[in-house]
Amino acid sequence: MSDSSIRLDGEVTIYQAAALRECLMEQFATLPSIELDLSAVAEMDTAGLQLVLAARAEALHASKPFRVIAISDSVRDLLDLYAIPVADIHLEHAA
Amino acid sequence: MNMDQAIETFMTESAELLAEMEHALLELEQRPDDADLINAVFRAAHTIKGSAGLFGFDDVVAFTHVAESVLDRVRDGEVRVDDALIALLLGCRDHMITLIGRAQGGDEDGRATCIAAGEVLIQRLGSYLDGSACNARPAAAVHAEPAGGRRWRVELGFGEDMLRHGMDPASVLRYLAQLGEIDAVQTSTVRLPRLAEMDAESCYLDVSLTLASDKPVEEIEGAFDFIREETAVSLIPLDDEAVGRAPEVIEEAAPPVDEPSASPRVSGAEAMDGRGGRGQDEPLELTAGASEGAGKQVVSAARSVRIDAAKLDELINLVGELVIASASSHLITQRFDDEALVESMSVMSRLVEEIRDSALRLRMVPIGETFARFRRVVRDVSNDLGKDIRLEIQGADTELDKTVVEKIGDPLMHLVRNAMDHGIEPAERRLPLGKPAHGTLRLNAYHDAGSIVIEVADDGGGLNRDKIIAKAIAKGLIAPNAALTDQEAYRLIFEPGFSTADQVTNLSGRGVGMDVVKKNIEALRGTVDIDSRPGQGTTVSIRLPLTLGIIDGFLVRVCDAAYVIPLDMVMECIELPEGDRAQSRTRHYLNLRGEVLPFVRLRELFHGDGRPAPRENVVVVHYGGHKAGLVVDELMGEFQTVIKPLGKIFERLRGVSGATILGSGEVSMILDVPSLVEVAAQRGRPRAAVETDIHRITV
Repeated sequence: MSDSSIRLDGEVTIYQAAALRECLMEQFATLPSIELDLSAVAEMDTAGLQLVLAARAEALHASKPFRVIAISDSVRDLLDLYAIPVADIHLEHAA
Repeated sequence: MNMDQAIETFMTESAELLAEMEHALLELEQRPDDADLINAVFRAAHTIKGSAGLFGFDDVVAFTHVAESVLDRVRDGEVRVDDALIALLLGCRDHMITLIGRAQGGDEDGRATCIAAGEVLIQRLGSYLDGSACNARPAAAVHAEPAGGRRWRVELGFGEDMLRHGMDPASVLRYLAQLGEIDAVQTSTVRLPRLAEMDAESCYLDVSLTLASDKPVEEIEGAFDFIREETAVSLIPLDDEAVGRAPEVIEEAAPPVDEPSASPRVSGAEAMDGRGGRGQDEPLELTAGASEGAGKQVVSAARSVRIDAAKLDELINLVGELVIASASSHLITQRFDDEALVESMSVMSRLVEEIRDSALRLRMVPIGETFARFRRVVRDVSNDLGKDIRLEIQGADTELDKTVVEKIGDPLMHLVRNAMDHGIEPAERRLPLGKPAHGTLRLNAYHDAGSIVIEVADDGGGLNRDKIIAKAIAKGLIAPNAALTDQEAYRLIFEPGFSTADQVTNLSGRGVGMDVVKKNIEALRGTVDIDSRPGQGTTVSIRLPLTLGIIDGFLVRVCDAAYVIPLDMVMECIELPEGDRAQSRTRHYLNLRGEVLPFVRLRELFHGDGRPAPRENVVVVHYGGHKAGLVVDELMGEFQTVIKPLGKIFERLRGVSGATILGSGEVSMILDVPSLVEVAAQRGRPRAAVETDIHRITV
């Protein structure tokens, strides 16, 4: 895990979504590359998933490398449900 | 986030489904083999289970699941419908109401009792299952639904507010997975804005998938019941039925796409927009033709809109103000001799009138739903009493104001119970009289002169006039030598503390009730009347105004005050003939084309002024089969009247039912025609002549 990784834990749901978005925005402004660590996410809902997807798209726009380095089971369940392959999220994007 | 709103929707819809379920169960008693009814019961239970699952109301889900399993076996013909099963299912339905009512939280003690009550029902349900199934928790049903049956293309464009309303699209997907096998899921994020612009609480996802399920289409549609308002749902069958209409859908779906997400964002979105579901190689080739073909099968959105009752009241209040304002403008217009202005004002007035009528119609609901509730009451009460009583419903389409409907339930309940308990005799007494062994209770509704009349009729023994009079004398309600018409005698049963039942049963007959019924109905500006024939039965008629808010009025003047008479009750206006004027000091009736018409002088009644005006007019009004004349000084014409209730101080004022504001800003009293008709009848005896039939003459 590098220093620049963002670790989300506990609940990543609509209740935290607004605050998380703020936090992600800040990271985008300061970090040269984005790494998300989702291994400690106990619960993720669609609002949470949207944020991850939006972050990935943002990285693409900003031409920053983006990586999800680990996911928890509950995140995997949600990705399965929406048929979003883990590989797709992981997508290591080089500028 | 508005979870409360979603839960409220769930509560309302569940209540409706449970009412449907009850109705279907009662019908099943008559037609135990009717597959549609069985399906209706199943669907209600199933939908409630599904929706309760979305909210995490586990108690509801657990219980309903067992009932649903039994219903499933009924549907498959493995269990036959009989009276015992219907009684049990009715019990389950009642228990579901309790569970749903408790679902929003409550004390743990109550929960334990409630669960215990549920366990008893579950055990009884268990006897209809193969022993083991009754212990199955809903989780068992979640997986392992055999795929098969039909294949569907499901496309969901989730509404932006969905998450905020407490609905997670993921729950919908999980629920669909319970219905069958989900395949070829594609999630589109084209609507997802940049991180900086997105609202993290909005939903931007679209999902398309194929579903293989052997469930009927209603059940699959049921999965979307709670999201349909905000979500674009399309459900397209992929089997042979669809071949002719949407071939491209078929060819696309045949081999399930097994690498759905190399770029999930593209094709899913195109499928959403075109509703055609093309492969991802050629997303742009979707044509209007394709979507038209498939469009026929697109599940249509709900046809009705739920509106908060408070919003509707607000609208109706505003319309009331509009009516007053328009009356005021009308008055001002008359001061200027400007033809164009008058013309434009009259168009405006007509429109205001139409708006008023449409606004009031929004609140009108058919009474049938209220009537239907009594099927269950009649069934249960007749079982309790050991009588065979059938319910006949007529005029279920008759509409009346929702606020009135809400308040009429209790009085009706009382009348119905009373009729079954005291009215209809036991079979052993009916048979010797040559009546059918089963009693009949009839609920009827119809419109009459701006009122709705609701009748509760039984074919029982009728009221015993002598017994009523004897009792009234004993209670000191009437003088021992009072001469009463039958009508007057029957009406005594509405007096407080009056009950003629020899035997007090646990249903009615405690001497409370009929007077409360009367009071409740009078509070709605209605009246109760009773008619009875010895040996043939009793009919109680409730007469209620159609609306509580705005009426068409007829404006008259007495001395220098203006009064409003509800126009629906006005039959005609005549000038008081000279001959009658001379005699009217002593006599309170006149000859109207050979008919005796009792009248009251409003000048005398309201102003204590004995001197007659130079010219007098009579407004002939009718109410509840009686006619009377109201003597006024001047007729001023029609007037749209917004009823403003009178304050508590005026509660006991006789002859006035409300107030309104005239265009000039002046306050005017609305006359209480029913009570004035009564006053006139009392003064203008002979009574027998008054109770003639109405000859309808329009003004």
